[in-house]
Amino acid sequence: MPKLSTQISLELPQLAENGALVPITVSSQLRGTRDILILVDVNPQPVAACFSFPDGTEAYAATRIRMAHSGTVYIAVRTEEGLFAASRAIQVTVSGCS
Amino acid sequence: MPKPIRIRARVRNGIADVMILMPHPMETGLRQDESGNTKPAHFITRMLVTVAERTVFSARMSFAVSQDPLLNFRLSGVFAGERLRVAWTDNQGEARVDEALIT
Repeated sequence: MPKLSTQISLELPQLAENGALVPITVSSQLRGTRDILILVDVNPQPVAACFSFPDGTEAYAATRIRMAHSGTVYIAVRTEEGLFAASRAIQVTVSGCS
Repeated sequence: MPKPIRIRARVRNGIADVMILMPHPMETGLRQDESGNTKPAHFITRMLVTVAERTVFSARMSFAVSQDPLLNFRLSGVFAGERLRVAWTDNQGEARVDEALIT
């Protein structure tokens, strides 16, 4: 099981009106961050994206994802020392799957 | 032919802020058209960003990324005047590569 970490930042609106377009910003202060995965528990395919950061690239990314309905977004960060995680619940008004 | 990728890369205080927009339908494969037929899944699966043939960022995506994927990230160790190259491939075998000058 990944360890919860306060060194992972996850910016997400508390309420998204349009589930087809949910802005998300992720970053990690964990040393040796290699990958950041975005997972959505309520989606038919939970893994939305996986970003990889070579040396020299800040462990930071912003994008827009789909959410089927209200649920929880999980962030998994892979570092040289293992897996770390953070999560945040979000309300979605209109499904991003229809 | 897929539409060109829109790329902006600006260096400020030694950090390049990169904004990429890849026009793409990102069809989930779960939606139906007006006559009730399921629209086939069509989405970018992989994208790679390089500067001087060095990988500086890469991503794997599912159809849970919104239509016309927009990505923002930050690079150090790149300089104005270098070229930033973005390539994507999708689940139907389409691909697109574009370049922009870092300013």
